Amino acid sequence: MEFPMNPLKPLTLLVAFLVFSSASADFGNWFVANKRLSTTLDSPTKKISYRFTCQENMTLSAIAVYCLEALVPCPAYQLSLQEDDNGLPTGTPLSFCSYVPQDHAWATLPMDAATLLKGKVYHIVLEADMLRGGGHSVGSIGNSNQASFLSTDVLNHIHPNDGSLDLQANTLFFDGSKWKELDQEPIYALYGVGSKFQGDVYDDPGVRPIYGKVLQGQSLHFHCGYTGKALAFRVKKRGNPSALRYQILVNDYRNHSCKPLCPAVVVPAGQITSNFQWVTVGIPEDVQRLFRAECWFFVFQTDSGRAAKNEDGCEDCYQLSDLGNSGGPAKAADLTFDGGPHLSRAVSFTDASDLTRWTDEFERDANVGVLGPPCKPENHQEVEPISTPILLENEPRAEP
Amino acid sequence: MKRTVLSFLLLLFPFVRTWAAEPVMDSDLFQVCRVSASGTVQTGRYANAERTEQKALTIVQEQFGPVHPSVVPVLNDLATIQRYMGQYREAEKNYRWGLAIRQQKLGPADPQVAESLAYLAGLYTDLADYDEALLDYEQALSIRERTTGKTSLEVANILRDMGNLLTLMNRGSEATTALKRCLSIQEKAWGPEDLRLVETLELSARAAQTNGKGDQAEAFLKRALALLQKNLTPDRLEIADSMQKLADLYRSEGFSDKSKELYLKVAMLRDKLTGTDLYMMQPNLYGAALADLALGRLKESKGLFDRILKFRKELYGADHPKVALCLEDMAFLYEKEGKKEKALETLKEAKGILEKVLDPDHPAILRLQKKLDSISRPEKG
Repeated sequence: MEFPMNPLKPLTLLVAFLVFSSASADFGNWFVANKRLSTTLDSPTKKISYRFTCQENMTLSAIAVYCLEALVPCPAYQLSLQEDDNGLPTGTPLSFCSYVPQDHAWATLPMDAATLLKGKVYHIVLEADMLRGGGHSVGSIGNSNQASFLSTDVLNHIHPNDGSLDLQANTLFFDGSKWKELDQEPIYALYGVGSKFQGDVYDDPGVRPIYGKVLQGQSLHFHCGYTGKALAFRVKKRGNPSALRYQILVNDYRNHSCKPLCPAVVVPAGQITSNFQWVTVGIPEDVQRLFRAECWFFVFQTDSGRAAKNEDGCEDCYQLSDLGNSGGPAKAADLTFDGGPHLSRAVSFTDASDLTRWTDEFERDANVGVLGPPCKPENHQEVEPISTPILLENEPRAEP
Repeated sequence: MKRTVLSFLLLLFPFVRTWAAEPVMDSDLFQVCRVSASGTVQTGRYANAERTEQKALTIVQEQFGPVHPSVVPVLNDLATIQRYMGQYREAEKNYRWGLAIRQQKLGPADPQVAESLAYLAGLYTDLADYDEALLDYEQALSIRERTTGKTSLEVANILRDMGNLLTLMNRGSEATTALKRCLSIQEKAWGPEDLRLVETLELSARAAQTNGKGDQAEAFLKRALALLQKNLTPDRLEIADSMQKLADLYRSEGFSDKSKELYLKVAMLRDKLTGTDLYMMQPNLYGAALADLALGRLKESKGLFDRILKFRKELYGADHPKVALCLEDMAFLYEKEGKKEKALETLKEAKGILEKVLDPDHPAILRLQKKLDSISRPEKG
C-alpha cells in the first residue's frame, strides 16, 4: 500500500507544530536533539543560564544539571534559581546551593524552597563559587580547573514531556561582560514538593538503525480514543536502501505479542534524504479511527541493509532519530515524552518474522508522532471569564 | 493611595501566612462552583452566583493562599458579579486585590496585569471616574502593545473600550482615532463582513455624533445594520436593536419622518420577538417601550415600563441603578403625558437610588438634577 507523502523541512515542521500544538492535537515525540554541546566555565566571571518557562506551579525542592566534563581538581560552582528580567537573569537568587561537579554525571542538588509560578520565566544560573560556601577564597579556576555543562542542539521551544510551547527556553552565556543567547536546548530538571517535576533530561541524542530484519519505532499510548490521520517521523537514509515501510502493530498484552493492524505502508526510498528530515505519510483511512487509548507500535523496516561498524551502525539502511536519558536524575522517565505512566517509548524488533520479541527502551523516545484532532478536553480546564455588564451610560435610553 | 496600601499589605503577607507545603484542593467542587456561578449569572440570579463564586474563592485561597495568581480569575469573576448587582465598591476592592497580586507576582508588565487594569477601567467608567479609567486603559494598552504587538486583537479590545470612554468624556476626536485604529485591526483579522465589527461600528457612530458629524454616524450605523441583516435571519433582536439606534440618531438629528418610519419597523419587529423567559426578553421589552414612547404610543409604552420596573426591582433589588434608569425613562413618559408632579416624584425616586450607589457628581445624577430643575422651573408667560 503506497501513500502520498510529504517530506517537511525542519522550519516547516516547526511552524506546523506551533500551529498544531496550540490545539494540543497531534500526539508524538516532536522533541529533537542532534548532538551534545557544552559550555565551559573556566573563569570566575563566566556564567551559564538555562532559561525556561515554568510549566506548573511548584514549591522548589531540588535542581538537577549535567556536567559533561570536569577537570580535577574541579572548582566549586554555585547553582541558583533566578527570576527573569527582559530575558536575562535578575542576578538575585531565589534559592541557591554550591557543589563540585563530577565528569559525565547528573547532580541533583537540594534547594531551599522557592515558589515557582506557571507561565513565568526563570533562569538556572551556574557560576564559579570561589568561596565554596565559606568566608574566604579557597578555590581556583582556569584552564586546568574547570567544568563544562551540557546543552543540546537544536533549540526546540517546546517542553519535552507534553510538547507544550516554551518560547523562552534557551541557554545563555555570560562572558564576563554581557549575556549572549546560545540558541541551545537547556538540559536541567526541577523538582518540587509533592512529586512535581519539569525540565529536559534528554541528555543523549541517538539514532536507531533500520535494516534487514531489524525494525525500529516508537510505541505511542494515546490518552483517548484517537483519530490518526497521518504519521510523522524523522528519518534519514544511508547508502542505497530499498523502500522504507511502516507498520502499525497492535499490542496483544495477554499473549505478549504484536500483530499488524493493516498492511505495511510503503515510503519510496527516493523520498527520503541523507539528512534527518521529518516525513509525513497518511494512515490508511479504514484504520484511522481504530486507535483506542492503548499502546500502539509504529515501526519501520526495509528489506535492504546490514549492520556495520561505521558511525551509523548500518549500510544501505535508514536511521530513525531518537533521544534518551543516560541515567542519573530522579523521575527521568516522567520528565521525558508522555511522562507519568510513560507507556510511550522507543521499541525495536530484532527479527521482523517474530513479533513476540521486542525490546522497549525505558527513558528513550524515537521521533515519531501521529497527526490528528485533539482529545476531548479534560474537566479541569479554566472557566471562561464572566462577561462584564453593559456600561450604565451605554444602556438604551428614552432620550438618545 | 489605595494601591500603595494594597501593595504594602501584599508585602506583609509572607510573614502572616506561609505557603501550604502540600496543598490539597477539592478541585471537583472548585470546578463545579466556577461553572455554576458563570451559568447562574446568565440567568440573572446574581445573589446565588455571588455565593457560589465566594465558595470557589474560599477553596482556591485555602489551597494557594490569598496572594497566589490562581486566586485572581475567581476574584475577577466575583467582582464582575458584584458589578451586575450594583455593588461597585465591593467590585472595586476585588478587582484591585487581583491587580495587586498580579503586579507583585507576575511583574507590572505581564499581560494578565493588562487584563486586570481593563476590568478596573470598565468599572471606573461606570462610576464616571473617567480620568482614573483612562489612566488604566492607557497602561493596559501599553502592556498589550509590548506583549502582543500593536495590531493584535487584544490591543483592539482596549482601543474599543477606550474609544467609548473618550466619547463619554466628550473627547470625540480622540475617541474617533482610537475606534478607527480598533476597526482597522479587527477588519484585518476578521474581514470586513464579520458580525463582530458591529459593536465597534456602533461605538464609532456615537463618537462621530459627539463630534457633530451626524452623517458619519449614520454611515457607521447603516453599515452595522447591513452586516446584521446580511448575516442573521430577519427575526433577530440584534437587528431591532441596531435599527432602533439608527432611529434614535435620526430623532436626535431632527429627522423626525425618517425616525418615525424606522421606529414603526422596529415596533413591528419587536412584536414578533416574544418568549416566556422575562429575563431573556427584557432587553426586547425595554426596546419596545422606548420605541412606543418615541412613536407617542404612551399607553402601550407605560404598560411595558410598569412590567419591566416590577421585574427589575425583583431581580436586582429596589436600589439598583437599572431601576433608577427605568424610572428616569418613565419620568420622561409622564412628562409627555403632562403629568408634571408624577414626573418630578419619579425623577426624585430615581435620583435617590443613584445617590446610594454612585458619587454625587456622577453624570447620571447631575442629569437627573438638571431635569428636576427644568421641570420644577415655572413656565414663562
